[in-house]
Amino acid sequence: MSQFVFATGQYESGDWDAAPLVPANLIDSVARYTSLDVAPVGVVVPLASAAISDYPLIYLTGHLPFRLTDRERANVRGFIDRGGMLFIDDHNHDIGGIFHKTATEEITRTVGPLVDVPASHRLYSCFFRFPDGPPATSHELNGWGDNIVHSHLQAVMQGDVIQVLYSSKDYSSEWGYHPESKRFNSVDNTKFGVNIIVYALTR
Amino acid sequence: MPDAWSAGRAPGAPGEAAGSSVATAAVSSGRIALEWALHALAAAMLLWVLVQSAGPRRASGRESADPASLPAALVRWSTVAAPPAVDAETGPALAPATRDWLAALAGAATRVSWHARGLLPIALVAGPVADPAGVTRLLLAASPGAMMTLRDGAGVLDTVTVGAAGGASITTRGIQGAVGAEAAHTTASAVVTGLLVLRHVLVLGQAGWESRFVVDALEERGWHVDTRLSLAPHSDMRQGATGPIDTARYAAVVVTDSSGIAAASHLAEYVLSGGGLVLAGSAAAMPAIRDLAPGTPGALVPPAPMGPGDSLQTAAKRRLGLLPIIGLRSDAVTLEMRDRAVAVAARRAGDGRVVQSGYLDSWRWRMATTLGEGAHRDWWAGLVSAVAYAPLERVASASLPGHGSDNAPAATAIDALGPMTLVLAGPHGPAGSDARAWFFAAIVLALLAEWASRRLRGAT
Repeated sequence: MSQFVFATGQYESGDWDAAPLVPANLIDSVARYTSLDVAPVGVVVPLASAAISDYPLIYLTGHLPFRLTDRERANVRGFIDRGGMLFIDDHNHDIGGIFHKTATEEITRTVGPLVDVPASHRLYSCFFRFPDGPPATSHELNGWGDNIVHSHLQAVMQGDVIQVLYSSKDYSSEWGYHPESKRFNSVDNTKFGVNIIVYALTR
Repeated sequence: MPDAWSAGRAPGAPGEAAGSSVATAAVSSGRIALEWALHALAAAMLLWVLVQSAGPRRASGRESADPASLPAALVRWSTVAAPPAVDAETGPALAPATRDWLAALAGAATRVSWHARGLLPIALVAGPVADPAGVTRLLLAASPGAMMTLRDGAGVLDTVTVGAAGGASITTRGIQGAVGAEAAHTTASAVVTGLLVLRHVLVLGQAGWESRFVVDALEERGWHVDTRLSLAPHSDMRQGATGPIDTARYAAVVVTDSSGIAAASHLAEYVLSGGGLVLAGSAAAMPAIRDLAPGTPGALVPPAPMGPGDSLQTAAKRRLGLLPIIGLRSDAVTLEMRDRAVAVAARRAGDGRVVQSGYLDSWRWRMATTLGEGAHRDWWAGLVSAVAYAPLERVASASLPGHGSDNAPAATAIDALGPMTLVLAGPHGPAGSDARAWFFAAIVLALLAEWASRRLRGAT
């Protein structure tokens, strides 16, 4: 059985590589808390490449305008149709920001409309339990960005199944540190990242 | 008016001797006796015909009918005449009603010989497959190389060329009513013979892309899937019931890998009692179920690029890693090869069945192309249905005898009527009518002879 490989999606517009420490941190958490066979190093996969089919969960983030080329759009559509899942995080934590505006528009255009994910969804209980829904980030609590604590994540869903998970909470900043620093945290704030990966693997 | 001969023989004619009158008297008495004999014969024959017509209507001769006259002949043989023997010639499309009618005549003491010109020995059986998509398996038997056309109530389903072994098998979905297989004007027909009880499928293994996409494929096919996937040393991801693994709950169990599965020790008992087991990748290497597997996983054969002449499906599977199945048991059957390696094999174990696939990470096949999604789903559904425990719920009423099923027309006819015998060419129609004509002619001739004799000797 092949390993789980954490994949970061590379798109032609914007700054797709704005959170380079997130993959290593989440890989560390998955290895720390689960028995999943996880590759120690993540990969970067261009959305225009056929190779995206080798990575059924792809993480996307950025601060800048998010636009897909026609080839990327077609590739992403096929990827979603066949069972792939995207996790897109707004690195600005700003619903008035350019990433949020362009990304939500692009997701709606490419896959479908975003809806709020209820706190009872299996995403919040498939490994660690988050009965109140998505955990707040320090950026939300500090009043940065849009100065809003977002109570829900959003998603494009087919029935109860999440196809595209969209976050305005800026987990990319929250999880963007070296895994070695995790020991200094009283609470590991990457646990919700483990849930996202476990959900993708078992949804 | 006296005729010339009687006038010439009038008494007192010149030159007539006295002795000749004695001779004439003797001739006359013999003649009268002959006339009486003819009269009696005619009366006897009339009496015999009268007795025959008043008694049971049983003809004395053998009757025959060709395909065109057979329907009317059957009616006549059953109502007007009751011939002791009949020769029936039919065409290649021997209707069950005609066959049964002839069998009924044979059962009513009529000797029936028959010949169906062009009737081919073909057979068709339709049975439900343990698949929630409503799949039916059609099994065909005919002469090697025969071309058969399959139809149902909605039209042509497919055409099949029978293989060298004289048989063919196809699976299809959505059959409307009875299905027929036609080969050169001979048609065998069948209806699906029952409804199966489909219980859940249980997927065991490590949480990962393989188990996830196997679950997706089976759920999309319509199976209810329960899962027990290991996530952490003391944490399983469970979906569905948590009871014991037995045939009352599960139609089949799919094991996606050889990760430590606590439930594996119960699988042997489950299979031996009739359950179905699918072992993927390295799962067959687990000690608890090694004895059930058709073979042993061999050394990894890495993915290979598309070869010349490969179909898209073959090429997609070639992109998968393979643990070839080695050390096949003597009772195992190879279901699929990749190059010269056994990729899929199956065997029976107790009352259950086990199928082993050597392919690794089949999810890559599904994710690779849009075409792969459906092919991956069908392939996994096929593996599960090949082993699934699915008891018959009830027999559909349409499959009861006489409800449009004629699985093997030639064999059924031979079973009902005996071996086919060649009908010799000859006059058609009832032999008894010829006898009656001869009798009538004989009676007329006897009466005419008597009458002529009497008139010639001058009697009235």
